Amino acid sequence: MHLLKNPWKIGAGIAPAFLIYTIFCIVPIFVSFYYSFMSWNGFSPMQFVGLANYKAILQDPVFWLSFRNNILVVLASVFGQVPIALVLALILNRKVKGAKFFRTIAFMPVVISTVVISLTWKMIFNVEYGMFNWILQKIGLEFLRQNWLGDPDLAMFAVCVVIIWQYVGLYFIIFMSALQTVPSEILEAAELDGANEWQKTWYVTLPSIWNVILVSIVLCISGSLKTFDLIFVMTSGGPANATEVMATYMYTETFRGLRYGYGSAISVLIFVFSIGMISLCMKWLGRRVA
Amino acid sequence: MQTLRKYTFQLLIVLLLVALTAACGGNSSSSSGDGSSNGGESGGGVTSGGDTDEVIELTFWASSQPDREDFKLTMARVERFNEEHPHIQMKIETTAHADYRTRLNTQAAGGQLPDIFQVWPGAELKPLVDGNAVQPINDILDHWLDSGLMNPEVLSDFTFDGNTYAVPSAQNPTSFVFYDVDMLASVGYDEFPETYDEFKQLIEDLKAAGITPIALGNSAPWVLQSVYISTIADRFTGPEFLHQVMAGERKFTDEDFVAALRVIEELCQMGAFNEDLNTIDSNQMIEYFLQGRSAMVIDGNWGIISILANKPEDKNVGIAVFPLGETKSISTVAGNAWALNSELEGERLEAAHTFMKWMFSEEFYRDLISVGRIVAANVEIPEDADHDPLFLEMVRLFRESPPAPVYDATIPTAVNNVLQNELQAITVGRSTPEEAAENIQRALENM
Amino acid sequence: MDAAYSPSRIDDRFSRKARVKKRIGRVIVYAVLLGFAVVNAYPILWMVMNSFKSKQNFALNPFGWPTEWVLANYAEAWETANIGTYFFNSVFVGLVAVAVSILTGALAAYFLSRFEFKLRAPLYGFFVMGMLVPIHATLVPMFILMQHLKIINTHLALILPYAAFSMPITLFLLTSFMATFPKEVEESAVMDGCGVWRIFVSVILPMTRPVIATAVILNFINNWNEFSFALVLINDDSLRTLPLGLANFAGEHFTNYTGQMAALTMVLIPTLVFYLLLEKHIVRGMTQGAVKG
Repeated sequence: MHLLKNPWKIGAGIAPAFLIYTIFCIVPIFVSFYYSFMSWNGFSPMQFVGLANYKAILQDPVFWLSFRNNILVVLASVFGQVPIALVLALILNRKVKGAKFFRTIAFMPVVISTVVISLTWKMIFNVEYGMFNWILQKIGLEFLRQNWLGDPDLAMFAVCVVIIWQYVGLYFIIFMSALQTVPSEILEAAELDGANEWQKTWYVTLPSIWNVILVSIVLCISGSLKTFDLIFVMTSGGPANATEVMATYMYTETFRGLRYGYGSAISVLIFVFSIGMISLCMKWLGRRVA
Repeated sequence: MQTLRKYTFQLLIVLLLVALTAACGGNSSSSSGDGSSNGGESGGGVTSGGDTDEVIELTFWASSQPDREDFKLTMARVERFNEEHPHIQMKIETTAHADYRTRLNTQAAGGQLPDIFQVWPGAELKPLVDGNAVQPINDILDHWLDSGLMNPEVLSDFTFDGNTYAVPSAQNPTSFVFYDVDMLASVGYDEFPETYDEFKQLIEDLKAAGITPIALGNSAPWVLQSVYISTIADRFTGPEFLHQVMAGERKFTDEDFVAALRVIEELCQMGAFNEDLNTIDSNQMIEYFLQGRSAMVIDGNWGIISILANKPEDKNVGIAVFPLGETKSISTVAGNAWALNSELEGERLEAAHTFMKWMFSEEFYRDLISVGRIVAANVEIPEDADHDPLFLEMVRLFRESPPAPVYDATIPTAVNNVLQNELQAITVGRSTPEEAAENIQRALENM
Repeated sequence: MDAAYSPSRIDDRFSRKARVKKRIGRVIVYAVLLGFAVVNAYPILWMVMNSFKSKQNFALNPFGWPTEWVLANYAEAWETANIGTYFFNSVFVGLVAVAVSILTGALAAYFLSRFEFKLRAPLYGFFVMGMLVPIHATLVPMFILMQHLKIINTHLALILPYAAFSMPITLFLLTSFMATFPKEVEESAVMDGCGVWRIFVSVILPMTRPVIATAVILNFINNWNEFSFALVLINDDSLRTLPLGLANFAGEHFTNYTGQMAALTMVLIPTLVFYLLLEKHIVRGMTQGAVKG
């Protein structure tokens, strides 16, 4: 790190990003926070209600259900997406035949429209003709046959599988680009010292991209807590709220139920939970590294 | 030298940014120059179109329905209005159905509603009326009522405290049973059952023959509400029930409403539906029926369009009313209605009135019928029209049946959300009818 | 990887065993990769297949091959989704927003990662905070903000929020990458008499190439698919973007799936090309950076 004597230069460097970001991201958020103290249907004038929205949310069973589902998404993402993506990136970073093809294919789900993802996975999970149950039947595990998306106890897990699948590619390319920064001299040196592939990966590669893995985990948590698109298109929170997450609940309350204050209060809570979780996680992981 | 180079770079970055901003700003403002009539600050975006004549431009919003003849017809008619009225120009903006409300609600929250926009009846229109977003059209109502083109009852879902706010174009009966004539015949039914007990027997017989009785796609949970409960509950409670509930005179926990919920539970438990009822949507339930995977499908009048368009040549489809109770009522609601922005006044208001009267004319309703729509006006089906017998039968059934209210058009949206979720919960055994009724009643009381 | 060819071949038997082991390992790796490829490619195959079916064919048989190949779906989809107009808008808005966020973001990341100053940590936290906000919570405030700025219903009304919302992830990725570079990279440049800006352009930026490519891809795809802002901030049909066109296939009770699949197939192609163009920078960046370092 350098000490720059001229603070104006730092200011000039950061200002453009700061201004755009503050005006078009932070300001709207804070306006939304302000709405969370109001009762407003969007048509009639707002009324200040203090903490009433928050009180109501904390007693709302659907909110807590959606919160629980969000936690499931976080766990699935952190323990599903990140390791799978990392393994894939480590494999495809080596000289594998067709690596470019596999790299492209790995990234595909990030690019495909959510509509197509939801249609095809709904077919895969379908209880009557779905591929999943068909395979179970073929390998003699018919007793495991389930109504994957139709059973409220299972639906959220089925959705989590799709979410993992959808975003592996995202972390995959982040890890890919990180792997490019691992200094090849150190790898060569390790090789000369007789380190095998595992040792090189474990002692050289992973530590040097650890920072990026942390970044990915943070991205994972924040992305999971505001996950919306796939669930909204695939199940719209059903059956019987079984796959409701905070963001879909907020959206329905705001734009379908016309409760802007209530919806805004949910988004404030999403924000607060994210900060809490990420700082806990950072503390824990940070300590482990040290 | 060095500082110069340094500054050159700084300058370059700044210039680049400015250029970018200017480029896109310039581009977009130039192409949107004529699109600023959207209410704006004063709500009066009168743009002068020629040197001598004033052209009044009004924005017209509709929720789009691709591949639907009635939608194409409506849009074509608005465009014809523009051709015939050079001094009043409607600027059409369409939005996909699923997103129309989000867009409308956001614009309303920003105080920038379009001039004439599509609205939904009853409970959904109420907040717009309460928030003064729409204005009464009482002054021009005579145009439809005096001529006998429309009955006042049709307008009741758009009328609050004696003021009417919108003109509907279609009637939407939401519940018909479509059945495969040959499949029913194969299990010994030449006629559709008349009573609920016979209907249940039919379901048992179909199941015994290995046929899924009814295709249901409730993943978007309005189907059980709009198509099933709105009609079924009416047979138990009568048409005044919902208004009494809203007035606090009756409750959702009353025995007759719970009995209606029990019908859903019973049908589920006896296996009347496909197993994946909560994971397929209303498109797919029609497809299941057409693929011959089920003997029946229950859907609103709109279902007939896709059935007629996609059915295999050799499939015989019959239509019936849900067999239950004494009165064979069908839930129905007037729809595809348009309302006027409350800020319209003076000559812009007059222009809007001219448009409404011209748009919703006898000719329009007749055209709608000719493309297979049931209309909100008193217009007979032309004798020479080339209609499928199934459609004519649907119209006959509808005219014979007393109307029942559709729940989502009558109860507040928040309560309706709970109702739909509880119906889903009943199908998966998460709620009993009694619990469901209690939760719905609680949602209403918490409003 | 290449241990088998190393000159220090001690025991022939041992190395043969190792080779067999390696071959098995390789088979497993390929099996996993292939399985993965199939699962990832299936939705695309399904989409393309159904984009050629007639509506009736799709309704009666959503799985099999098309009974007849209906090319007209594509013409119809082009019309319905208004791809002719919206495509240009999407490309323009997407690219400009990416350019703005990457240019400003990289510059800010440079100062945040390579310099020590008092406000550094709070600023970094402030920027990263934006990642935690659900976009739908800001729809109404954003609409009102754009009204006040009088840029509603212009492309600028999309470009600025897109750039702003991609700022956190851009900064987050770039900062964490730039922070890993050893101090020495600038020292030689400083010795050569390069100024701060010069170091940024000719030393730091080239080294950051893989992650800039990553950020460009991610941001562009986000912008390309963004729906909610595009829905409420643009009224004019001639200014709308592709996601709105793609929504045109769904009506209240029916969805024109075959048309939608055709449109989605057409829209997927440019994103694929874009990805392929940038992907090589993600991977190739390494070899070049290494030579330099």
